[in-house]
Amino acid sequence: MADLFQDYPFGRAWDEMFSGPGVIRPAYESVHAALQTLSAADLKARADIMGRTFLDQGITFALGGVERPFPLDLIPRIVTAQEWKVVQTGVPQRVRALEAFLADCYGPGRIFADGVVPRRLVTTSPHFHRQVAGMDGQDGARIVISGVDLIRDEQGTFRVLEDNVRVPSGVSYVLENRQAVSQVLAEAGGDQQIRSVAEYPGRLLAALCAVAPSNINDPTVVVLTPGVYNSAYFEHTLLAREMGVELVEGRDLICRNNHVFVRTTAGEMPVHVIYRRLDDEFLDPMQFRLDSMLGSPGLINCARAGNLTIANAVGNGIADDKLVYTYVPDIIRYYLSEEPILLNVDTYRMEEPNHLAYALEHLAELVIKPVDGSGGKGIVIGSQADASTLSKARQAILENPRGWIAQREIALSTVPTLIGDKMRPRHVDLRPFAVNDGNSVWVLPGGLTRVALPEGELVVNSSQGGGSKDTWVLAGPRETATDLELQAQAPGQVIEPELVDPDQFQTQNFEEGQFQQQGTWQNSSSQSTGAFFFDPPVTPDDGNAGLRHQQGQQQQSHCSAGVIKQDLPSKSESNNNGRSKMRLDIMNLNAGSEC
Amino acid sequence: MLSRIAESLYWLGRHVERADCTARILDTYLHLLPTGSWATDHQVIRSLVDSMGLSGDEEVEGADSGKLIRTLVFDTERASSVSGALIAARDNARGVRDALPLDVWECLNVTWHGLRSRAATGGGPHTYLRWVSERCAIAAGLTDQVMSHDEGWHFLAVGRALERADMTIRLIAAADSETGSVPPWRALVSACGGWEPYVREHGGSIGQRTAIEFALLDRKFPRSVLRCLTAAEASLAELEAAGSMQQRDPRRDPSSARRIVGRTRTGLDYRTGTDLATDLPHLLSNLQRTVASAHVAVSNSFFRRGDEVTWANIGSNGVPA
Repeated sequence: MADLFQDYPFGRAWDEMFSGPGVIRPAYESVHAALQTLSAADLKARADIMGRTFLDQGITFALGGVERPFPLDLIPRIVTAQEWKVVQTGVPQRVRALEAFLADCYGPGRIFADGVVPRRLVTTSPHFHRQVAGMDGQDGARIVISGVDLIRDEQGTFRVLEDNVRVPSGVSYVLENRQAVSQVLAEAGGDQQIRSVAEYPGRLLAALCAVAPSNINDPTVVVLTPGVYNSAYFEHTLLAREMGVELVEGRDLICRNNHVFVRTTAGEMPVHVIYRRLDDEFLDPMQFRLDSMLGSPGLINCARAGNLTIANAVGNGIADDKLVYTYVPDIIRYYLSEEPILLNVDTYRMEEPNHLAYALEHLAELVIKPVDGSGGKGIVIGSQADASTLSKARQAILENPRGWIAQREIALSTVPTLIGDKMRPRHVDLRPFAVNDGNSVWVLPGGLTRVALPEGELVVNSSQGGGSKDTWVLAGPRETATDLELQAQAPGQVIEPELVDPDQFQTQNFEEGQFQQQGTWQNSSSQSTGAFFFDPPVTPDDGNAGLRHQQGQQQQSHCSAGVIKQDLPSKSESNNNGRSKMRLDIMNLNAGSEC
Repeated sequence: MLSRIAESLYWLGRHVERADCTARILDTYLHLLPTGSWATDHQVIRSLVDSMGLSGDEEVEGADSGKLIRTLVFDTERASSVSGALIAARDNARGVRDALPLDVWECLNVTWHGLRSRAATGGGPHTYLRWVSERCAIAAGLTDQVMSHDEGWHFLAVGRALERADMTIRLIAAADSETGSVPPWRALVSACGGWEPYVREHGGSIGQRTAIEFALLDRKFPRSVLRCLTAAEASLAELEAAGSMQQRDPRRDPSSARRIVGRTRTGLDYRTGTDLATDLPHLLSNLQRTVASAHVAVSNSFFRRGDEVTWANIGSNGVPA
């Protein structure tokens, strides 16, 4: 059934599975082999089961008020250990630089004084909030959760498309996709070691506890959701459940004397860390939108007084600004004195006259994006736009050069995707999730691979009809037999490949300590179970076997006499007296429908 | 436990139970009657409508059987209809998704998805109501077997017990009136789901007095009013104990609901079937009052939101925020 891949087209884009027609990259060999045994109909059936499960379990996102499952394509996207190393070092570098940048912007402003980034750039951002200026209690942990969107260009190089350090979403699909794909396409993994994504909630909770106000020993963490009508509500519930913390709405919270409480059945309970899934503008009607019914008045003052940590911090939006994005390589060099590991996409700033002139001239070859947009809104892809759209975009840029950037159009890398009954290349991106506990940044070995389902479509956002894929990060080839044994004993844990960050080195040592502990524990427990003798499960005494046997025979002998008769031992027939024959008739009446 | 979550779980318990009871009552009344009498037997319809607390409702009053079924079974807008109660249950579950086991949620969600397709298949109300009963039984079983019997479960259990008591009381009150061709006691016991245990218990002397005694005072049948109130009282006691371990709020009185239920339960406990006939109407109205005031007491002492603060309405008046 190799015809799944019949006429698989190759274009300009980097294909993740094939390095050329018929040439499979080594990482995908087991997936390809598994697909050889399946027909398009089998795959479709499995995909349907998966979609049904998602719908039944409410793993949905709301689009226009209708709940629908996030389309999941069965074919996983695979990142090799070598490729992942770039992500695993590049993302933390970027997060640390943006942390420093945010602390500087809302603090002393050295970067402006040194002329690396114009102050105007930040203060004109709609996400710059003077309300939180000078609040330094959360420095180093303003970005607890980040999702940096990566793409691979035509040469296969990872590039950053945008930073998400406000409220990045999608991690629930990383967890659920892994489960779904392993349930219906278990054979595709082959003998490869796929790194686990299951430890994300634990890591997140640990980080949220670590960033709690410093005078709190045992912090209470809550997840703040806008409510059931939010498109990502499923994710909020999943995170709260997996972390074992309360999922609260704004109306559950009370702020009094710069302390936050949550209303419970036994009175008011203090809260120390809020993982908010709410935009800045709705968080606190005392500081932002007065008509917000989703937040709780007074939250910002609680945070300013040092009694509350809001994760991610308010005001992070300036680091998401797509014009600030163009400065990130400089920001990394300025704060960290390092060269950026992950490259940007070539971007033109519309405020700089020569960039603007070039962009307006080559509008049809570029991608035009609003600087504060998310969800793929407002993006104009020059090569696919008609004349009136382009002239509208030109008009918009001229009216507000600060509001737009232009980027070179990149053919995002492609992964085979089941379209109809054929595999077809579809463009994907990758959102790895990183958790920062104030000391080190940990990148979840996996990520959300979003796929644009229409042919040639480059915008992969879920609100634009995108789907997703499970993302497999392969464990490195460094792994020896002993490493594998350790993994088998502690499936939740993974061994980090080489780390560059000295801070992370500490974490690794800590983990190894845990391995040893678990190892001895398992040894001792296996010894004790070896000595313990288990009885088989208890079953009832079967004293009525003879009775049941006779009853059964009698019923059957009347119901289907011709067939069963030969089984009847002559002894039981001779034993029949008048009474049992009468009972037989009654039984036969009752059992009439069974005949 | 968050007040909002406690309240949602309480209502979740009530709504699932309401769907289950309503389905059973309708199924009984629709199919116990001899064919043809349904259209003409106004007494039965009146008794049915009465037991739902719908007398005086314009949509239901004087409606024919088809219209009545549409309203009481399929009307998704009406929280007292079978479909409406299931939708409300699912909405409550969705709001407390983090406090509910996956299996329970999945059961309610699958039911919710099935409502439309089931109603459209045209299998008739009986098939639909049977399906609803099965789904409710699964939901009830899962909440009991999968969910930890913690504070949240007790809120759910209180809701379920109060709703069940309420439904049984309504049925007894309705059965007290004349129902024409079908013996009212038979409809009553069947609608409680207790026909078989009742026959086994009172096989020799089937009659109105034993039927009412069975529905009110039976100590073994899980839908008798006495059993429901006992269950509610037990869960309320657990909730009171759980609450008292934490800080006290002088504005709440966590024992008030238990006192209300307990007083009435004791009254029932020491009654015999022979006393019942003399002051049944008085007793029934007393029971209804108990259930209603227990509901108010639970809401006040556990779900109290505090005083709503209207922070500002500037934005909504068109002044930019």
